Amino acid sequence: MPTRLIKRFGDWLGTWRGTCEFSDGRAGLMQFRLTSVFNGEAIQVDTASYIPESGAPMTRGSGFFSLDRQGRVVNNIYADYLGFAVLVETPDDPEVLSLEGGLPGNMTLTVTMSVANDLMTLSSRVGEGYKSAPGRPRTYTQMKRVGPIQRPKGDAP
Amino acid sequence: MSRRVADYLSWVGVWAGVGDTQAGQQTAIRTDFVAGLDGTSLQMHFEAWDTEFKTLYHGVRAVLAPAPSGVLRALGYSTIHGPLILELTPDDEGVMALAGDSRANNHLSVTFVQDAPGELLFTAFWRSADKSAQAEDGPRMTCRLKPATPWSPPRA
Amino acid sequence: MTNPLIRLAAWIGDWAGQGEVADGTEILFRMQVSSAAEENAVCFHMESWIGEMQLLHGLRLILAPRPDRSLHCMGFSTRFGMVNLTPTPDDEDVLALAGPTTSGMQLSFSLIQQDADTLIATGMARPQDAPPGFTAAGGTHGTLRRVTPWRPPGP
Repeated sequence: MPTRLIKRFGDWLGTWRGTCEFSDGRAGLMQFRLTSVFNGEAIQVDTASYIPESGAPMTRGSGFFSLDRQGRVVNNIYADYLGFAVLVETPDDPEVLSLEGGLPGNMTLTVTMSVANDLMTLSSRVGEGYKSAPGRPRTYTQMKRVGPIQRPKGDAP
Repeated sequence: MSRRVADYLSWVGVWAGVGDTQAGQQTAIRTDFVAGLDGTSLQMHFEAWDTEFKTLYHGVRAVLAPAPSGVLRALGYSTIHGPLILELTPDDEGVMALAGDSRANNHLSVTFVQDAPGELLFTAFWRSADKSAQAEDGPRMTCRLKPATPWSPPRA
Repeated sequence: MTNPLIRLAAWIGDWAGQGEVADGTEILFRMQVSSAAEENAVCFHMESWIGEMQLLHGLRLILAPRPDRSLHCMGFSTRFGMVNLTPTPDDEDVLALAGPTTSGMQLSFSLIQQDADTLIATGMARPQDAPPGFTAAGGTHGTLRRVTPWRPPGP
């Protein structure tokens, strides 16, 4: 039986790649790789971005999606330019995953992700204070699925 | 003494052994260290099984990486404790001592000590964070891990 | 044409169980099946352990389509060296592979899906120059179950 996490995010598993615009205006090539851990108990997310022209690395990170007792997604993350944080799901449309959590230095990170038609869209924003400031620039990326193996939603991890 | 990821890259590989769980059962442990994120992090995959591989008592996947300040922390997921961020506490060379609290308010401590070139002593325990530190004198999971050197037929 | 690997995608995950080798020695079996080469291949990482967690045999296989879309498998065995295996026709719920190793053996390996969470693994090796009718003395046989972590009892 697939876990609740895989029932919800099974069709997000795999490798995704696309262009990215960082909040400071730089352009990059972003890759996300989502893999099931311990047969769907968690999903590991490994991220990397590169300078498109040279392939030189820009950012690297890792994270884990899991569900808390209320069924909300908890995403503990590491990004080399941000550090460590624990993000917790905030209410949003059913097909959208919105996450928010504190960063060192009284900063807040918000992330919004969705997958539709084999296109993963992600935007994130770092703001100062308890709540992120909506007016701040955000990092925005759209990634296409790489590779043909696709599991139907809810299939075994 | 503060540590760098590079200090642990000599551990990359598969390690295994038989030890005891905190609850006192015999356990077969397999742990795997892999360099990750272009060599800037150390990924750890830990499995503690019953000795028949029927029950996975505890599985942990973690990434040891430097914060922008240079401090090392481990980001992880435990099949018992859920999402984790553990601090690397200062210790001697050849020691990886990680500690922190889970979201369920349990205090965890995980230590690998390189006793000899081919041996890692693993110990771990958890206690409710509201219990005093004296509870740390209680039982803990322990195992002597050796590199998984493949068996080869005896030479004639 | 459908991707020939899609049926194996259902096996992706962690498997473990017990088995035995030809002389009756009991082994612990562990297998991870994962996608590889950006979802264009499937990787099988298998380990069998004996006694106090001594690695008896490690085998890593990559199964991928050739340009003509037929499947081929290459890999490395800690006992037999490089292996070069070809899928042999079989039922939908069976993966059967056979081929030579660089150590002069002929290896056959199969995974049979018993149910959604159970796989039967068998492996056999015999010398490539074995005479016709040679019967290998035995092989490895084990039952693998999809790993479900233990959960602490609720309050």
